[in-house]
Amino acid sequence: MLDFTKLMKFEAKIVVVDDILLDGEVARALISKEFAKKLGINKSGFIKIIRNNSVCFEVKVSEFADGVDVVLPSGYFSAKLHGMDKVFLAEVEKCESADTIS
Amino acid sequence: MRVVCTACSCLCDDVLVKDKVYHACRKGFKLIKGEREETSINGEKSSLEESIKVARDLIDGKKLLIFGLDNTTCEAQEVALKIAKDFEATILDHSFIYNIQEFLKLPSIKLEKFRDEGYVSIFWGSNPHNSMPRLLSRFIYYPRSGKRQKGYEEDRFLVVADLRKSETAKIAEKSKSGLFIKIDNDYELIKSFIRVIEGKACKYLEVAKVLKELEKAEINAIFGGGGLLRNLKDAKLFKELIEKTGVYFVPTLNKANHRGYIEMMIKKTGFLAYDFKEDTNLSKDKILNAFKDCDVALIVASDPLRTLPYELSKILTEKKLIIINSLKSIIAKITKSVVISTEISPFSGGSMIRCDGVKVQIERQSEKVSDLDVLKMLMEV
Amino acid sequence: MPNPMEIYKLLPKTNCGKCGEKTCMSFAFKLLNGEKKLEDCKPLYSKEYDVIRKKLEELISIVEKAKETGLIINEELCIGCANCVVSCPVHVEKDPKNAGIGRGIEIDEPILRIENGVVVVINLSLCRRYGKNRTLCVICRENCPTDAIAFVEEL
Repeated sequence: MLDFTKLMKFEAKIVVVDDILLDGEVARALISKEFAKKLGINKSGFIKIIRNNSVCFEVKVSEFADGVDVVLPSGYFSAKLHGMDKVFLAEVEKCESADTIS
Repeated sequence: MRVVCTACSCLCDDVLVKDKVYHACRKGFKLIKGEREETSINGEKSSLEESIKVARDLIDGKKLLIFGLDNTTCEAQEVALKIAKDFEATILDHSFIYNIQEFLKLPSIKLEKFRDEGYVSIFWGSNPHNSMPRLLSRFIYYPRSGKRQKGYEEDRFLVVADLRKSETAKIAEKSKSGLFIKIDNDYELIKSFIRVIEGKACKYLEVAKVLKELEKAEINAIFGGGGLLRNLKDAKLFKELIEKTGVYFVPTLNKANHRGYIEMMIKKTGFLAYDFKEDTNLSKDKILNAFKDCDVALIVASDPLRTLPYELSKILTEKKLIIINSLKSIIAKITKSVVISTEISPFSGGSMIRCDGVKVQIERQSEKVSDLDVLKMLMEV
Repeated sequence: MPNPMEIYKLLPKTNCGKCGEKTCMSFAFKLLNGEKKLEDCKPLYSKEYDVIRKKLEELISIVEKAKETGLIINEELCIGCANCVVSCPVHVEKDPKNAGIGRGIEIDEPILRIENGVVVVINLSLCRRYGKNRTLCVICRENCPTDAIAFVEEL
């Protein structure tokens, strides 16, 4: 069956925070339960965030994203998106893999 | 050996390094045992002397920008400032992102005093679980110390005001002696406090409970993180809140010696970023041009690609770079630059200023060159 | 975490007594508590039980991660904040001048200690959940915001 959520873009409220466990060579982030449902993500998956640049993150559904839609750890990947604001709105769609530091 | 951990501005002085690293959090362990940078020129291994000479040649007669410094010692920061003056350079750290100066004038409290006497702690736009992992267990919530022997169950009250349910918020939410206030507007929360004190209705109803708890003790504090410091354009209303409630304020600046840099710059230049060529303050709107206009950037103990907005760090990757750093950084990995590897701060000696303003001495425990040594060499060549 | 009934369903259910227990159900309970090992059930090691034994081994591998009081630490989730070390009432009593006031624990054999950035179980015999006068203390788990600490019976 066709997964239509792959073709859909949603606007998400995103916050950039320190997160030791997500910090590494692979782009990782947290996603709220509600937003994951919208995207059709169950427990974990991949999302592309588009703002200034586009970055693909591996995401895990987490209670720590409650209150916003996506929590990005501060660092190389989120710096490409956030500009001066660490709380922002951006377009999000599903994707197949996460960016890594090459 | 016993070391001071400089992974964040808790500056824990009880860390033991033997066969394993004891008592340090994951951040501290990553700093102490992390992969070290290698001294190199354009990706080729080089000697320290050679790198210093090439770096000095790069600097001479060029428009220099000095960036970073929040994670190095006070002594290294002072030499960096002297280099900035001598070479008419621009100097800045990450402070331009915040509105910190006015907040540092608010009545503050030492963490040890809060540990012994503090009752209500309000973490506002701050999640110490990640920025300063041991802060709650060392000073704020869990210690049974001084007048607070009954511990967190009875002798502390934890409030977290944040736009998301952070790890610290989770502790506050599930504890009987805690409260999580989910906020979407910092000004509205300040106004709510003031309005409840004045007997008026407000947006965030939870503040009534917080004010009731504040009455139970004399020592209470707000710990303001990046979320608060970045969002408030000025501290005027916040100052009114502090005056009306009588609470203390401590900024939770997570970079080890961020406060050291701020205090030094305010004392010596009156500003947080300075352009010595124009002999003027580098205001927020001039930062982009300062990055564009420089010929060479000297980066000290920082990885701009991880900490700066991409529009700024990308400019740096196109410049000639001198990187003085201990741990591997992405900027050193992806650019052709002069990289000088130094000892990590817990072993290099010097001093740093903790988030609450206390100066912490670090004993030198290694012969390897420190950031300070390298900066001095750069000046003296 | 498996429960005794799940284990029991996979056992031979012959109550042969070769393991030293009167019933397979009793063996299932003791297997979960760590008082018995899978090898104690001799019939399981005959060919006909190969597939079932593998399933049991998978289930029991989770149990084996648990220490004596049923304490499991997920190091991947731990960031070494030391909330557990400092809030532990036993640590406060035994090391009031260090762990009690928030510093790194200095007694020789603490229950928990932060090593290489994460919490490690050192000596569970001191834990209030262990021994004759045990209590159902959950303080270390309650104060772990990342759920890195769990007790066997809760999984």
